[in-house]
Amino acid sequence: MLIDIITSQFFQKALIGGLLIGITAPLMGIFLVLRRLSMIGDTLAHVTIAGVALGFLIGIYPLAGGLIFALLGSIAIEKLRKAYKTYAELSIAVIMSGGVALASLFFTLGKSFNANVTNYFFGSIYTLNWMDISVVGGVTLIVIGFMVIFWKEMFLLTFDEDAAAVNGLPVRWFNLALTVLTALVISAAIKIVGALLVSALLTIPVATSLLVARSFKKAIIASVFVSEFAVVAGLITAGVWNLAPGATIVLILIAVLIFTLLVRRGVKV
Amino acid sequence: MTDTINACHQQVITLDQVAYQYEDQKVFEDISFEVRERDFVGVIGSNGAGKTTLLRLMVGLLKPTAGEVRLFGTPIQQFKDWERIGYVPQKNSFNPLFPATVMEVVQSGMYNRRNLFRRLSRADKDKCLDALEVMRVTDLADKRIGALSGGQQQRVFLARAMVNKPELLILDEPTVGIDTDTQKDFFKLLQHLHEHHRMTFVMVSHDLDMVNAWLGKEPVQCCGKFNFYRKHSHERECALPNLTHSVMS
Repeated sequence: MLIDIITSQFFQKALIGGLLIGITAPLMGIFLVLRRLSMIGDTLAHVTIAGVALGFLIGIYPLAGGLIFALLGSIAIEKLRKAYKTYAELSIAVIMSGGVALASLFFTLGKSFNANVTNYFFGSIYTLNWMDISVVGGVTLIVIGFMVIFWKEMFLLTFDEDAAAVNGLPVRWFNLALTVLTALVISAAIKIVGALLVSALLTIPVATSLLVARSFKKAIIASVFVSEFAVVAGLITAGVWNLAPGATIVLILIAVLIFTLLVRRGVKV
Repeated sequence: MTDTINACHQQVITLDQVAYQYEDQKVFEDISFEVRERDFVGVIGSNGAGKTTLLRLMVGLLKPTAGEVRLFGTPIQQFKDWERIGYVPQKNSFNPLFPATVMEVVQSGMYNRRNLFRRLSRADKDKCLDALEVMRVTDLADKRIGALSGGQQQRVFLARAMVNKPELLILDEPTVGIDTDTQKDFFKLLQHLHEHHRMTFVMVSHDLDMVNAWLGKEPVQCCGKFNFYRKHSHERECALPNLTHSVMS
C-alpha cells in the first residue's frame, strides 16, 4: 500500500512541491521570527486568499492574483509600520482585517468557486499540477539564490540593523527584498499547506532550531532539516492513513518541537 | 613638521548648528562641535539630554532637522567610506537569544558595501581572529553571544567595531552594567588604543566621575545639555602610521 502511494504521480508531485516549500519557508522564516515578524505570515496568507479569490473571479491563474495581493499587502504593512512607529503590530492587524474583508467580498461575488478557494485555505498538496510546481520551484530558486548571495548581509541586518546601516549597507533595499520574498514564499506555500497553516511552516521549524542551535548557520540548517523531515513524514503518514496532508505536516512539526523541548529539558536536568 | 601636525589634526566629525526634533518634541538645537584626529572626546549629558540621539546623528542613523554633520570633511549624505568608522551601540540592543556565535558577530563587522558580493577572504578572517585576540575573547569564539557576561559582550562588540581598524570609534555608554574591575580593564584598553594607534574616539556617558578621571575635570565646551571633554594624544605617532599595525598584531 505504501509502495502504491509512493509510486503514484500525485504523491510524487506532492513530495516535490512539499520538499521545495520545506526549504524556502524556514529559510525566510528565520529572518521573520528573529525580527519579531512571526505574525506577518498569517496576515499575508489571508491577503493572498483575497487575491486568489479575485483570480478565480476574473479568470486568471489564481496564484498570480494571490501573489500580486501578497506583494501589495507586504508593502502596505511596511508603509503602515512607518506611520505607526510605536505600534508596529497595528499595521499587521489592519492589513489582516483588510485581507479577510476583501476575501469574503470576493466570495459573495463569485459563489460558484467557493470549493476551489477552500483548497487554498487548507492546502491541496495532492492536486498540485506542473504549473504549481514550476511556480514553487521558481520561488525556491529565487529565495535560495538570494540567500546564497546575501546571507551575510541578511545576518547583520537581522542581528543589528543599526550596525548594518553604519557599515554602509543598503538597508532599505534589503528590507524591501525581504518583504517581497516573504510575499513570494507565502503565496507559493498556500496551495501546499493552505493559508491557515502557512505560518506553521515559517515559524515552527525555526522555533525548534532556536532551541538547539548556537550559531546562525546551524540554526538555518537545523530549521530546514526539521521542516523537510516533517514534510516527508507528514505526506507519508497522511497518504497511508488518508489524513489531511497539510494538517498532518503541521502536527508533526509541533510534535518535533515538543520532543525537542522535552529532550532539552532532560539534558538540562 | 608643520604639515605632519596639520595632517594629524584633520577634522573627523564636524557638527555645525545641528538640531534634532522627534515629531513635535525638540531634543536639542544649535549644537556645534568639532572632533579632530587623535582626540578622545567624552560627551556627558543627563538622562534625556539626547546623548544617544547625538551619536546616531554622527553615524547617519538619524538625519538632523537643521544644521549639518560632516565626517572627515565630507557632508554625511555624501559620505561613503563607512569602514573608517566603528560604532559600538548601547548594550542590550540585541536579542539575547539570537543564535549567533561570537565569531559570527565579529565577522559581521566586515559585512560592508565593499564585501557585498564576495565571501570573506582568509585575510579578512585573520583580521577577525586578530581582533578577538586583542580583546582577549579568542576562547569564546564558538560561544553564543547571549551566553556571555556583559563585560565579555562589550569586548566582542568592540572587537567587531575594530576589525576594519577604524580611524574613528564611537562608543555609546560602553560601561553600563559592567562591574568596576572590568571597567578598569576596558579603559586600559581604550587608553592603549588611543595612545598607540592612530584612532579617534567619541564616547557618550552619564558617568561624570569616570569621565573626569579619564579626560580631566573641565569640559572644553558646553553646548545645550551636553558637556564635551577632550584629551588629545601624542602627535609624534602621526608620522609613523605603521606603528598601528605592529601594536595590533
